Amino acid sequence: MPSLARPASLDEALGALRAEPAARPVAGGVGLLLRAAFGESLPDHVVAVGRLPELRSIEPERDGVRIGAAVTLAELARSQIVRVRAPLLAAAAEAAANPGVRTTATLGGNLLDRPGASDLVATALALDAEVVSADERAEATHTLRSLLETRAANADHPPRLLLVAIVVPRADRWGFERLTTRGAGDRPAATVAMSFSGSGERSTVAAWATWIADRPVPLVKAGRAVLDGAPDAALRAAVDEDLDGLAMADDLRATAAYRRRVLPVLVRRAFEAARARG
Amino acid sequence: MTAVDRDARATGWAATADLEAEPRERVAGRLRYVIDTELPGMAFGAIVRSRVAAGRLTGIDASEAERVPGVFRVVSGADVAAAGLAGARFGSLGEQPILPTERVTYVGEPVAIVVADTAATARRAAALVGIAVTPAPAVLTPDDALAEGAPIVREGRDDNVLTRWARSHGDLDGARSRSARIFRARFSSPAAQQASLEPHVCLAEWRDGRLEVWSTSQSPSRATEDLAKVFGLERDAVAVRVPPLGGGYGGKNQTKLEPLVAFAARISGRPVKVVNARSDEFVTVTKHAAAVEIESGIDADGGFTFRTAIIRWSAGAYAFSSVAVARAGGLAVLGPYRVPAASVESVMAWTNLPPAGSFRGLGVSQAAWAGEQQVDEIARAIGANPVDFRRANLVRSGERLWTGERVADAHWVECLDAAVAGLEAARSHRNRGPAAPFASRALRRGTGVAVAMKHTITPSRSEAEVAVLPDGRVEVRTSAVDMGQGVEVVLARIAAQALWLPVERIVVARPDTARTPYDMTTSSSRATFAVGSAVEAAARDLIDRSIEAASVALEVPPDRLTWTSDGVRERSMDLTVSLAELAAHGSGAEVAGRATFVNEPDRDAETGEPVSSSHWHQGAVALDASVDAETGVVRIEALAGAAWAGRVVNEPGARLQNEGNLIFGLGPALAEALEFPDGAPAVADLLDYRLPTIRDVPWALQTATLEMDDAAAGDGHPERHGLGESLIPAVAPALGTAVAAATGACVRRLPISPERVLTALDDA
Repeated sequence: MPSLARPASLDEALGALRAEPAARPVAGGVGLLLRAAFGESLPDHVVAVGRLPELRSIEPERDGVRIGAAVTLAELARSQIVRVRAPLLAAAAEAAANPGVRTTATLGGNLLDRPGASDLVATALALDAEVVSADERAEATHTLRSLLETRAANADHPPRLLLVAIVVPRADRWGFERLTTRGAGDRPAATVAMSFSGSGERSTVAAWATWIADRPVPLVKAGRAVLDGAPDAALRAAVDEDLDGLAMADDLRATAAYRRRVLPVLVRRAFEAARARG
Repeated sequence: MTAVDRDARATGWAATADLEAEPRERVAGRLRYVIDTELPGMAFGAIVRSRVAAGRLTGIDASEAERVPGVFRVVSGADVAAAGLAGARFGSLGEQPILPTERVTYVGEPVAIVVADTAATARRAAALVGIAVTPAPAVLTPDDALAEGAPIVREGRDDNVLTRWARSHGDLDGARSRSARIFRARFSSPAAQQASLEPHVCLAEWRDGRLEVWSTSQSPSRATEDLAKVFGLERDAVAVRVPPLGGGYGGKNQTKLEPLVAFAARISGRPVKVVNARSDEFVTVTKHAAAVEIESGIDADGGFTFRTAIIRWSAGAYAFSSVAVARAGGLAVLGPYRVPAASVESVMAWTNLPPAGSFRGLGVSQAAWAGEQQVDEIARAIGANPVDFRRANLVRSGERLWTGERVADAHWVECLDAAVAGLEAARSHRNRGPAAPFASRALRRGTGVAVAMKHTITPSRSEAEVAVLPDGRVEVRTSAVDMGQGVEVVLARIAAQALWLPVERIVVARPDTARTPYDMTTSSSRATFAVGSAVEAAARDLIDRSIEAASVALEVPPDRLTWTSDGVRERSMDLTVSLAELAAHGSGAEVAGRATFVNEPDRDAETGEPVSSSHWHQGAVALDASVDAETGVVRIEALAGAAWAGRVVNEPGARLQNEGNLIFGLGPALAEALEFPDGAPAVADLLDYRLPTIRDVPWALQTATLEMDDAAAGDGHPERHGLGESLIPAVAPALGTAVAAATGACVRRLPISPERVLTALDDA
């Protein structure tokens, strides 16, 4: 079993992480439990950050909201601030996993643990969220997208940092489609999150899919196509372009072919939902 | 964990005093299961399993495992042989060894067991045991197993046919020529896992040459006999104790871990407990995969002229309940319809897969998936309403089934009508939930119905003892196992009613084969019917025995004595001997009633042949489903079922059984499947194994339990039918027919997954 440090403050946590290079921060511990359940290797040292006050707050910031990395999905789903200022994130948190997991799993864990397999990642990327991280030297702010790309590019030696908060700008027009192949609070076959802003020719759309590969997938062409009112065949072609060269997930929940087939449907439905909110 | 009090063990196994308490404790998680039972000096076993589907076992290397601190012993087939037990066999065909010594026949087959001081040590060491196997060709499907020249699974046999059940009746050739239309189709269903929350657990101890076992067995009497046979013991030298189970669903029906755990306990000289991990469960027992080819003819008036079916089943490497499944599915595949000419061939093949066993519905689900879907296809093809078509063709009491035997007690039409009415009522509760509004244009809605007929084991035997305790309460002793279905409450109520006693004065002993009498098995929906009948007869016998005892005590002739709820009353003196006084009186002999119930099959009055089942479990299901034509996702919006009960013993329990039937049936219908690419299960955990959860259950759920009129009571038909499986077989075909009604697409292989629905839509 891993050794466990329980720091009382953010500074103590950073100290504990600095002191033990192999240590990993753990908040809700869902990822750790899954690793244990499937016999995967566990870190030798973990630093519990789930109760640090600095990681637990939800506050308005600019026109959006700043959310502590250790806020649970259940807390996200019922937070009035989040529901008003980042309703897409609240909707995704409410739909993800099952009640037991939502009570424990945190936003930070969702964004960093297995980014290809999280409803919250697609959502935060579609909202162009920023992340606030801390290391032994300072706090820093990056876009979530650049952070994930940096981590993916350095998978063998991921940057050592502690995620403190996520800042989500306001987006009133959003769509979220999560397709499970049974009614249970199941891991989905695919999730598509979308936001768009502006109007007419100046409108822009951000669409992301998760659960279809080992990383979140931007649906750039498909977003543009649906915004331009493309017919089904053109939308399907645009999705195929977005997925070109991608190793699609092929598992017990859905085959790769099924995922490819339903993605245009989800994109269109997410767009129609977003437009209806405008 | 609780230590078992040895005094308590000597005087009797925990009996329930408060019958309401059991469900309460179960829901609160406080009920004690086998896993909670501990013995002093107990060791833990971890099973080492074959990783290849077929091959010659050339060696077990335990050296590394035996060096792990805390490991007492690694037990393999060589130890079995050294103990002179290499030839010992158990199971329904007497073919299962304690451990194999020469061949492995499926992935997951136990080949050794590590005994250690903790479960974690045993598991860790088990991973270090080397298994040397020379792989051989394996057969993984019935078609492959039954092909000419196929590798033989069971050594010494000429082929892989485990059993071939066949029956025919009537003039098939003539019927074919009279048919206006003939329909043919092939349907199939995969294996599945019973997935009870509590896994298989066994604890065994040898004491003074006697074997004591605590086991999660649905059949403690059978386990006792198997253990006595394997170890060459007298039956009364073996005791099998079964606390309440955390679910069984048929999976715990046959003897599995018990001989191996008992052998490990014997050879290691200490009590040994084995708890299956969830991944072990997926290779311990499964459901029989099946493929059905079915053909039906109808005349110009829409009546059946003939029906035939060929079923091919995969038994896995050992026969748990495969003979019964082949028969049950064979009897059920053509349904409870008037069919003047028919034939069924039901072929069970050994395959190099984990053994398939009983799975709630026992083969009837696989059969009805084919038979009932085809009935719907025929109705749609001739433009008939599927409900009316069934109503026109279902047998009524006194008419003949396809086998030619008359059914004395048929209620399928009533069940169908009640299910349809229940669906109408359920619709008013419909809550479509937060369905995406932008999916609605792709939604197609349809209604489906299906009926189910399931036999019960005939003949079968149950014994009961009903005895007066020293405190004046009455104890019911049977070997029926409570696995959450509420059999303890049912037996207590039956005894209370027969004895005119308040139910609070009845206690129900838990199975302990040293103490509770023989019962064939708690399965086949038979406990309420068969064990209940034995208890009722034993209670009547207790009245006679009590009057005899009171007659001796009071020195009055028995004909002046009457049984009352206060005890035995002498009429002329108005003197009552209480049950506590009766128990205290005499030479210490217990006042007890005993009875044996056997459901011998009636003989058909015309043919003289025994009927297939002493009665039929009868039910019908009706449901509304929506199909998202763009994603293939199917949701059940309203669900109703009606089952024939004869007489209900415990109304809340009956309703829960019906609801449990419907919900259990949703799993294989919508999502559950256990495939074995290369012989190993594709999934072995509950995260990815697709059990239904409460979110798959529609808000609109309605059940009905149909009972006989008072006028019909006592006419010789069973008054108490079990309800454990009456609806399950109808759920999947009802859903399949609803999808077909909604979209015109027919899914012919279970489960009705979104992907299969899209493929069927493409083909439609």
